[in-house]
Order: sequence, then structure tokens, then C-alpha cells
Amino acid sequence: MPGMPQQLQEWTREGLISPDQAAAILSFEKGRSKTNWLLYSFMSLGAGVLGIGILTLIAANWEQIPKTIKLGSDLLLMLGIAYSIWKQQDQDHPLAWELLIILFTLGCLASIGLIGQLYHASAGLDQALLLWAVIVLPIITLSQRTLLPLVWIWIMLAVLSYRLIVTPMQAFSEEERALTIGYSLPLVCALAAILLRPWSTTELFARAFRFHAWLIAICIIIVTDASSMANSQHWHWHASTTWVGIAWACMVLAGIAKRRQPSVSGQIILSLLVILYTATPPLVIGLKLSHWFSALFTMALFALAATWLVREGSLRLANGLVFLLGMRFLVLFFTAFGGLIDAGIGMILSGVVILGFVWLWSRVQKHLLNWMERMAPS
Amino acid sequence: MITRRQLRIILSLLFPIVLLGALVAHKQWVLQHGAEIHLPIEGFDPRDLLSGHYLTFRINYGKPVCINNPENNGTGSRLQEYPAHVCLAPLGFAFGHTATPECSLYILGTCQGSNFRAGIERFYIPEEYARPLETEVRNKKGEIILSISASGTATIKGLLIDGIPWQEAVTPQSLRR
Repeated sequence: MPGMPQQLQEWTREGLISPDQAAAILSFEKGRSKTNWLLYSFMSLGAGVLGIGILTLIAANWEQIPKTIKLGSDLLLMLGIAYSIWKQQDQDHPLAWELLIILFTLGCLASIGLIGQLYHASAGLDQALLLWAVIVLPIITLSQRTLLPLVWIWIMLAVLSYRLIVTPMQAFSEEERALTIGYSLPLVCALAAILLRPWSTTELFARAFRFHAWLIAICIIIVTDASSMANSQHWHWHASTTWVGIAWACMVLAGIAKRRQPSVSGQIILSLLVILYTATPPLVIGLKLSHWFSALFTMALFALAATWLVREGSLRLANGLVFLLGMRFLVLFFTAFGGLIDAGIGMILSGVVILGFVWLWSRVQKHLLNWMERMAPS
Repeated sequence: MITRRQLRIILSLLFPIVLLGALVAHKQWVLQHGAEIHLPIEGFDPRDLLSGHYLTFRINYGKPVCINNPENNGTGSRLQEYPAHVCLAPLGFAFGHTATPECSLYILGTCQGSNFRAGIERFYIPEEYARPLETEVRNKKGEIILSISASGTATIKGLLIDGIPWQEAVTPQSLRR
């Protein structure tokens, strides 16, 4: 064990153990460590070589192996992993529990691939992933970390979005469907996060949905803003898309209002965020607003979102948003002034204004929030 | 006595295994009890990142498919999938998944652009047979054996080259090391 000699010296100095005992412990550990290290190294080497050899043999003779043997081996492997998970159910080793669940879900995906190969099934990747997502959902709810729910939700959103885009609908054209889905996704994720939060079983999924809501919303706003800066915009924004977004936003706002947490000020900030997000793409893309207005919306959204994230303690994401805000500011100035000198003077003035605003906000924030709390219904 | 959590773990673990087992059983049942037909094919050979090597082909149903879509007046993209079916007895094609009573044998699928897809357009092959098989299929000597269930689900049973099983018809190409 590293640091053991120093530790033993300290214990001896404090009189916890005698010098003879310290020497005996050191001697015992030295002998054991060497033996264990050698043993484990050779065991790992042997197991690794054996495993690779078996896989190589299987790969070389894959075609000669009968279908029943392949399927039977796959079944045995899955049952073996399932049994290992069962034995870990007391969760004495949380990491082992998580790794085994990941292995099981990967095993399910590999099994789907194997069945597809054996029966020459050419269903699309989206259908294979949809099947995988459905069958592994129960086991993923047993996970104690957010990784698997994050991956699961990402895959489901991608697959369902693709399915909705390629499935023809009388009322919606393909472009309309794509725009509506992209625009609505953050709101759908936000609603799912609100609905799933109350139960402990689904809390990790709620967290994962919240993450996706933020991530997709930021991407949509960046894409919307970028489209306003392009010389020609090829998208046609339909009124139906706006109405769908408004419908989702109303549900999200209702969910926010029903929650006991956060505080009233937090609810107000969240609601403003939802409203601003819902309004931005229809106004910028639909009305083909200039990039000035788009910049205003984008920066307001990022500033508000950063404020909320700081409240929530998500400092990294908040910092990222402030960085994006700064970048957008820079782009705006260079677009506005063109030259470096003019842009520089403009930015100095703006920096002074921003710092002044921050100073003013730090003075009035507490009073303003107290006032909001007093005004809120009990 | 099993606790609620233990029951949940058991069911969560058995659910995918049972479902995949049912999928295999269904595929096997269609293979063994479905109506067997042979159809000519033509195609090319890309590589599947997930499942090894496969031959992708188009099946010649003997009639033009995926034309004159009433829902698509030519403005839809090639990405969109329209439900359709090919009737094999008597020979015919129609959009939608509802076959007429006169049609005794049909395959359900979708039209993507001008391609009819029924989940049977891919055949997995060992790497060393890829090029020889591709050549034979390009020369229109390939034939696919299908097993079709009463509900219109088709499963690939085998591949023939000039009427004989592909393993006997082509010799493997030695791979460069």
C-alpha cells in the first residue's frame, strides 16, 4: 500500500503501535503485495489471451457455427449477465451494479444485431434502436446513475423524431414536421422532466430530460440566430408550427405553476425563459426578422438562462452560456461597426454599461426578489 | 419470500430475454410454415457497421412498384416512407397495407422514393464470398428464396446463384493479409 511506511511511523510516534508491531506489519504487507501483484498480473494476462483466442476462433469459424449454437450461446451469455445482476442486488458494489446493467443493455443490442444477421433482417437502424429502447427500459430504471437514462432518452428522441419526419402526414409537409419537431423538442423534454420528477423511480429520467431540454433549446436558438444572419433563408415557417409550440409551452407553464419548488422568483424566471424560447423561432424565422432582433432575443435568452442555472447551481453550463453570450455580443459589434476601432470603442462603452448594470442589480436584487415574494399568492 | 424490489429486478431482466426469444420464435415459425417463393434479385455490396458484411439488393417482383403514389404528387422527398404491399398471387402492387380479398399472397412493406422495402433486401455473407457473390448478382444470376406468412411478413430463407445454393455456386476469394 502506498504511504504505509509513513503511516506506520506516525502511528508509532503517537504510541498507537509499538515499533516491533510496525516492522511486522510492514514485512507482512511487502510479502503479500508482491505475491498479489504477480498473481493478478498473470491472471489478467492469461484471461485476456484466452478471451481473445476464443473470440478469434469464433470469428474465423463464424459461418460454420450453426444458428442454434449462436443463439443458444447468446441466450446463455444474457442469462449469465442477468444472474450476475441478480447476485449484486444488495448493491454492496454500486460500480459493479452499474457496469453489469450497462453490459446487459449492450448485450441486448448485440442480440438484436445477431438476430438481424441470422435471419437477414434489413429493418432500419431506427427500428432496431426502437426495439432496443423498449426492451431495456425496465432494467435502465434500476440504474442509480444518470448515464443510462441520458443515453436512452437521446436515442429515443432521435429515433422518434426520425420516425415522425419520414412518416407522411396529410396536414403537415416534411419540412413542417422537421421544423415543428426541432422547435417542440425542448418543450416536450421540459414537460417530461416536470411530469417525472415527483417519483423516486423516475427522478434520474427527469434529470436526463431536463439536460436534453437545455441542450436542445440552446442548439435551436443558435441555429435560429444563425439562420437570421444568412443572406437567404430557405425555411418556411408555418402558423401550425407556432401553435404546436404554444400548446407545449402552455403545458410546461402549467407544470411550473403547479410545482411547489422553486420559489416564486424562480418560477417567474423559468416561465419567462419558456415564453421567450417559444416566441423566438416564430418571430425570427417566421417573420424573417433581421439579425439585430435575433441577437437581442438570443442574448436575452442566454442571460436569463444563465441566471436560472446559477440559481440551480449548474455553474459550468451557466459559464458556457455567458461565454456564448459574449461571443454573440462580439459578432454583433463587428457586424454593426465593421472596423476594429469603432467596434473597440463600442465594446468599451458596452462593457461599462454591462458592469454598471451588474453593480445596480447587485444593489437592488435582494429588494426586488423580496418584493416579488411578498406579491406572490400564499 | 420475494420482495417487491426483487420481483422488479427479475421481471426487468426477463422481459428483454423473453421478448427477444419470442422474436426468434416468430422468425423461425415464418421460415418453417410460410409460403416459399423464389424471386430474382439485382444489387450491390456495402458494409454494415453494426452487423458485419451483407449483400444489398433489389427484388424484381415482376411488376413496377412504388409508382403513382396518390399521397405524393411528386413533391415529397425520398426520405418519406409510404405503406405499400406487393401482391404475388395475382401479381400486383398497391399503396396501403390492406390487401384486396382476391390477393392470396402478399408482402407488406413501405415505399421510399421508388424503392419498395419489406425488410428482406439484405443478405449477410462471409467476407471472402462478398466479391464473387456481388459479381454474380450484378450479372442478374441471383435469386432469393422467401418464406411469407399469411399476414404478409417475409423472411429470407436462402440465396441461389443460377438455381443452386450460393455456398456451392461461388468459391471464396482469398483475402489480402
